[in-house]
Amino acid sequence: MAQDKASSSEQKKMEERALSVFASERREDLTALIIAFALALLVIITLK
Amino acid sequence: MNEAKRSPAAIIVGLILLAYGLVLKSQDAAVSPGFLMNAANYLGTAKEVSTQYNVSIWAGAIISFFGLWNLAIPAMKSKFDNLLRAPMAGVGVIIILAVVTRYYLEPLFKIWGKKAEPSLGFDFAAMFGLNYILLGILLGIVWVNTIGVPRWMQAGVKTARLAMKMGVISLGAMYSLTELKYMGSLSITMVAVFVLGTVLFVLWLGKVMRTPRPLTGVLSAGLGVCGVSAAVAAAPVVKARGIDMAYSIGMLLLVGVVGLFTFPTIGKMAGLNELQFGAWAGTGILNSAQVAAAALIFDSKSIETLKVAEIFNITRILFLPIIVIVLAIWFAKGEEETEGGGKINIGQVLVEKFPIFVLGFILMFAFSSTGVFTPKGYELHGKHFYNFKAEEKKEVRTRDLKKIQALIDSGQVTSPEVAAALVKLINDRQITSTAQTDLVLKASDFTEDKQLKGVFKDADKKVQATPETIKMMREYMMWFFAFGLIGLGMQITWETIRQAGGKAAIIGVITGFTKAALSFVVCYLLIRGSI
Amino acid sequence: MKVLVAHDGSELADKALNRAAKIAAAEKGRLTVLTVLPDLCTMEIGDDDCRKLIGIMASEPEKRFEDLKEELAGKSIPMEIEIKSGKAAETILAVSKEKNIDMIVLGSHGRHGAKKFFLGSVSVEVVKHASCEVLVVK
Repeated sequence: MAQDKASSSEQKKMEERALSVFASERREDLTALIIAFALALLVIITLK
Repeated sequence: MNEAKRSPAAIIVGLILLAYGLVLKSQDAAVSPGFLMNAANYLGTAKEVSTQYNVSIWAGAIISFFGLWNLAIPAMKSKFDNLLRAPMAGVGVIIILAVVTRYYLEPLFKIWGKKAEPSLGFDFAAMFGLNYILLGILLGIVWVNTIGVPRWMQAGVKTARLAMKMGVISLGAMYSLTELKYMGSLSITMVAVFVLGTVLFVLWLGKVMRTPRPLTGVLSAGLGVCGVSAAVAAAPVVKARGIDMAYSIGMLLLVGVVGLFTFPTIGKMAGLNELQFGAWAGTGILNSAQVAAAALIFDSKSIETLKVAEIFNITRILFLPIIVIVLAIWFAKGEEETEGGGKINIGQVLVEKFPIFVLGFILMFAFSSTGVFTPKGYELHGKHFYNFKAEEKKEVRTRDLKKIQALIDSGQVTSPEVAAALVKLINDRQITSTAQTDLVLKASDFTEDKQLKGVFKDADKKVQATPETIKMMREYMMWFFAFGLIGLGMQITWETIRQAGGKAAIIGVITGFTKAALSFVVCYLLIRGSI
Repeated sequence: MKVLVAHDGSELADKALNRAAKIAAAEKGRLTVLTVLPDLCTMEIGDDDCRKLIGIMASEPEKRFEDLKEELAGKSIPMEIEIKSGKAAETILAVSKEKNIDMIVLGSHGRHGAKKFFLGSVSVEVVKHASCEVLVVK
């Protein structure tokens, strides 16, 4: 299984697949970002 | 598997919270204290009763609302349902656990710790950092490993990750530019050295011990960068097999949990300060959430340790793409000697794959540094907020002012600026500007009198004031972390930990211990001063 | 007759699989091969990463049973491969119930050391709580 020769195109694909990991969290991150900023705005509006 | 069942879980949990909040509120308003107020008085939480019922009533109302909805119309599979309706019941249970640990268990252990001090010789609650964060994690671990997380709670437990991210983003508002610069440069140096050092060490160890290359690759990412998430990120590049993942993740979780519980106690015994401990935890502890946990177990009353630790953690997360690329090249070389690793522009990758929650953290910092959270009359100077409005409680006592006058008269204050600032202090009876507060603090260099040094410090403290906006943000940020960390506890299962085995366990224990010990030495010896 | 065999990648599990295939063939039944993967999705991993991880974990069992499936298809014995993640005993019992399994076949103990997909006394748990016949292969 590990012996199959990785051609350069396959390696490219592998790298891309690896890096796609960092994109996959985006939805959750965006949700967190929006909620955190909404709360911050709420604090400014009510307390300042 | 009956998805269409109308679940009463959320409404029950919501009503419990609501009932608790309302009873507490009514008892707080009543003339004679009820049983909850009696408990609060005994535990010393009477001051925090209003936060308690506000949180309980609000959370209870929201969860009950969604609970009613869930009861009337079964939750479907839409994005909205997944995001809000499905997790509510579990979210409610975690909030209840947070209230119980923060307002009941922590004070209780504090009292017990004090009571046992004469016989034990030390306060065990303080020594082991038995605050609500640690107790919450422990409660979570006990819960998941005994009764287990029922299906209706699972979606809620999963939101712990989201809560942690919201906490980290909000934390961004708590830094000053000087702090960020200082901690940032420190963390980049330390993280770079330790991440690269660990990765190379594990690759070497794997070669010596003849571990399969995929396993070595996964382990080096996990032990070097940020634990389980890094191991998974590296998995496809090194063609990891299922068994490699099982070994590595079990081991990473085990090493992480051991670190999480031992770091705070060791840090306290060694007398590390916030900066030293934050840096140590941020370098030595593997998993991201566990870094925050250790920092808050070390100190849950102020956020200084957490601030340092998170900077280190974020720096480490930013190193992940680089390490994944390094591993890709390393693995490709092992597979095929002739083919070099594909040329990847690391700068480009970093820009494209920048994690959004880190971006959120930076944005929040930028947002706060424009001064939007600083109300009129407050000034952010260094790491403290100041309010110079003339008030009686900010005044230095007359006999202390006389002592200051005596110091000036003695001619020991050789700096004319400092002397001028002190004269102004005597005239106004309080400090009136940030420039003056710096000079007054400097004045302690000109005297050996300990008491007088204290007076200068006090004069500075008296004009410090945290605005309501910041207090509020700190409060909800701590709730996010408390929530997220109870959820963290609920995901530390014996099932996963016992996956650890074989050579992965040996490499993990050796590397984890070495890294923790080395970073401790570096933090202890090389990091001086505080933030 | 519906036969379910629990397979953890160990040699003993292969033995159990052979027995199960023979029983299914003799009884003209159908065979379900179940592999339970440990649930490794802790909090550090998001949903997408979790799916990726399960993908990695599941790719081996999928490949492993392909040959057998073809062989059984030649004898016109239907065989299905189930890969689930969770606690082993619990999942085996749940799947058997869901599929109205008549007989569960499994090894007496999981493989410790090299491949620990089955842990603890799974067979004991299954024997204790199963509502159908259980064959424990030694």
